[in-house]
Amino acid sequence: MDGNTPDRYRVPLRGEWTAEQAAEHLEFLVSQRSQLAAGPPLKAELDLSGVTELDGCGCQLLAIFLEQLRRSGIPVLTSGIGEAIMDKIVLLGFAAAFAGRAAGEEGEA
Amino acid sequence: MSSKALEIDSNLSRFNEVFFEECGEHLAEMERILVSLGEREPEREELDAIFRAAHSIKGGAGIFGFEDMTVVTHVMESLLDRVRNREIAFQSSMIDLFLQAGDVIGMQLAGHRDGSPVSAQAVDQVRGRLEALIGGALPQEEAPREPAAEPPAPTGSLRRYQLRFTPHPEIFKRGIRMESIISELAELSAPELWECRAELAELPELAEFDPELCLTRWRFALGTQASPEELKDVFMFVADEEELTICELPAPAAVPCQAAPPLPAPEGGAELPPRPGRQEEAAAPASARQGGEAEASIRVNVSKVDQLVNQVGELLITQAMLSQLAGSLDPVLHESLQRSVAQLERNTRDLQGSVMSIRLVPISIVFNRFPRMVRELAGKLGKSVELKTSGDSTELDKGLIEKIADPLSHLVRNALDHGLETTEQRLSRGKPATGTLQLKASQVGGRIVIDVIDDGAGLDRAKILGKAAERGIACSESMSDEEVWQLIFAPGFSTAETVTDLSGRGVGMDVVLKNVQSIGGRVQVASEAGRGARVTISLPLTLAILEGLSVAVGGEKFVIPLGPIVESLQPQAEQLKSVNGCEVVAVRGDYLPIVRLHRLFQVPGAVDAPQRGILVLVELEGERAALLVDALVDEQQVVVKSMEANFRKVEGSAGATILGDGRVALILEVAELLAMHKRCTRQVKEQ
Repeated sequence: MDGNTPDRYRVPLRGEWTAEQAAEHLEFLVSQRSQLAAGPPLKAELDLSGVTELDGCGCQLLAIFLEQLRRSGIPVLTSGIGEAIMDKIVLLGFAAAFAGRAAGEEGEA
Repeated sequence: MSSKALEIDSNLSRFNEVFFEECGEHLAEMERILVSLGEREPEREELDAIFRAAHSIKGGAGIFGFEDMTVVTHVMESLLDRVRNREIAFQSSMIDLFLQAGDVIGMQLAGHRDGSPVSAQAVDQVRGRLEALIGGALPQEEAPREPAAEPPAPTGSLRRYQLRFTPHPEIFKRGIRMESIISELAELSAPELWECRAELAELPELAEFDPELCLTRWRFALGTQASPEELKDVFMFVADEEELTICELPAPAAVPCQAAPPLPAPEGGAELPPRPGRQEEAAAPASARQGGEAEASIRVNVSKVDQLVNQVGELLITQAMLSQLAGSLDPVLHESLQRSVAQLERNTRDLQGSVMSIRLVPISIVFNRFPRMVRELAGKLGKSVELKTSGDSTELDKGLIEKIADPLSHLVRNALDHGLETTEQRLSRGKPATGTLQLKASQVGGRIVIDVIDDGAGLDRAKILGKAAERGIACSESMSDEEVWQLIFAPGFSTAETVTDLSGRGVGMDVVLKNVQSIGGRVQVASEAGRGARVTISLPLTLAILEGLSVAVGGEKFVIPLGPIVESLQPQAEQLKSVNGCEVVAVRGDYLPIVRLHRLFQVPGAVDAPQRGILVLVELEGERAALLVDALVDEQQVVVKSMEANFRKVEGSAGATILGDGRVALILEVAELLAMHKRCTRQVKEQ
């Protein structure tokens, strides 16, 4: 089950989001961006529950993805952020970019 | 491997090299301070400096992924921090422990850099001992009652900073972990005053974006006791000057400074600010506070300098060719050309001087290793020794510095082991209880002179003669002191009564002499019984350029280094004699063997009768000879080219050079020539 609903497109993230995997993850994000652009206006939900590691490079990549969606008028939420990953996001100063938790977490953006 | 991967590898290795180099410098600085302490308690500034060194190594190791190097440095840093905060009383044994910790870190560094083995046991032992000191810390009330140097400051008294870091776009590709840097910076701040904000400087199209490119810049606000220098140290390996701005805010109110306004509150969907031009950074870059020191030097790989030296060498050769050509032209018709060529020659010489000076490094690089060695060896031997150095800033070619370190170490060990007496012996001889070992460097003419002087017992003439006789080395009681001192350079010669682990293995002065000679140096010994000994090493300034006399032999030219040349003469027939079947020339009562270069190098058409040619008298290590050449050509500086690297080893030569006419000339190695001559003479006699 992909977790998508008629008005919400879920982008599931998996594995390590670090510089070593950045090229591979970029391809994934580009494809997800195309999917979102092709369909009717939706809310996007970035699900980080499968993210096991995050570094500055990975964090930046996700921040760019989030910002692009927002600029395209697609509301975007984040969900499933584990404690360690959240600490890393905060430490790296990207908390604002990831703000906007999915309902049931810390309120919607 | 893809070219991109190769490029990344090369980048990483380049930056690793920077870390290795700087880590080595931190270790050396730490050791220098620790050794200078003797047994006394360090001043606060000294503790701070040692702490900073450990902290910088730890930070760099973390950033570059050498996690193992953070283990000992972390515990060491903790202990140092508690010592400087008077939570743990200083003990003199800590100096040795910190020195050992430095050794362990150095071992780990070598492991990463050269792949040399690392003893996990040694790491664990040092870490355990450091931890034991922390664990066994005296409770605060049992600690010495001295006032704390710096009591923990209330938040209000903390220094407030704003930092802006705009990293190089390739920072991620270099493998640098931003999270480690930020984490280290955060540790310096009071948590309630810490703020970190990342901003995207631009928003690229995802499909066209290189995901490893860093488009983020960071702003930090923090409250800390740390100085701007300490904050800058956090970015030591990752930030160029223009990438980091540190702005200290006036106390107590956090008034924003011009360059770094207070961190703006995030605005959802706000326009991303454009990436500012770096010239827009109004605040001075962090390094500007170093009085311009950072701008005064750059790190350059030695291979690049060597390449530059080689290229200037080629330029010198080309210039010499031009000079020779111009010299053959009519000076009236070609006056302006000749003037220009002369100007070119001056410019080339200046350039050569400037380039050669880049390779020069202070001898303090070698001298700095001795305080610790002397401290430890003197401790082992139960001797009290003071080391004095002078001329530390004397500069020497980097290649020579590397090669002189071992011979000097041996001389220092010898002086400590055999030269300087124990305290009891010194007192019984009416000498001060503490012996003195001096290392002096100076530049004398075109050479560097290094003296190793001790005020110990001096060389024992009778013992040396006895040992020489025992070893079958030719000697007699009638020998002068200078001749007797030369005996210690005989292979395997040693007067040590017991073999110690310091010296006295019989492998010593002969190796010192051989090593020094291999770099164009000379060794002299002077000694006075009961007063001490002096060993003097004299070295050329550089190995890349040589002052030589070019001589003609048949159709060939050779270059004889000026060092061993005593004089030249055209002998009269009555000066030429034969002694024991060898042809010699009599010069002021001495008989010198005649060495015919054309025979050794099989050059046809050369002058064979000495009275028709020129004899160049040379002297090396007390041995004299007369080299027969057709004519003296010119005295000149020549650029030394390796024969081994370009052709093969040619016996009797120390290399080759290209002369002004474009021809290759061998640079003669006088010691080898003399050995070749002896061998040839022996073979002729045997036939």
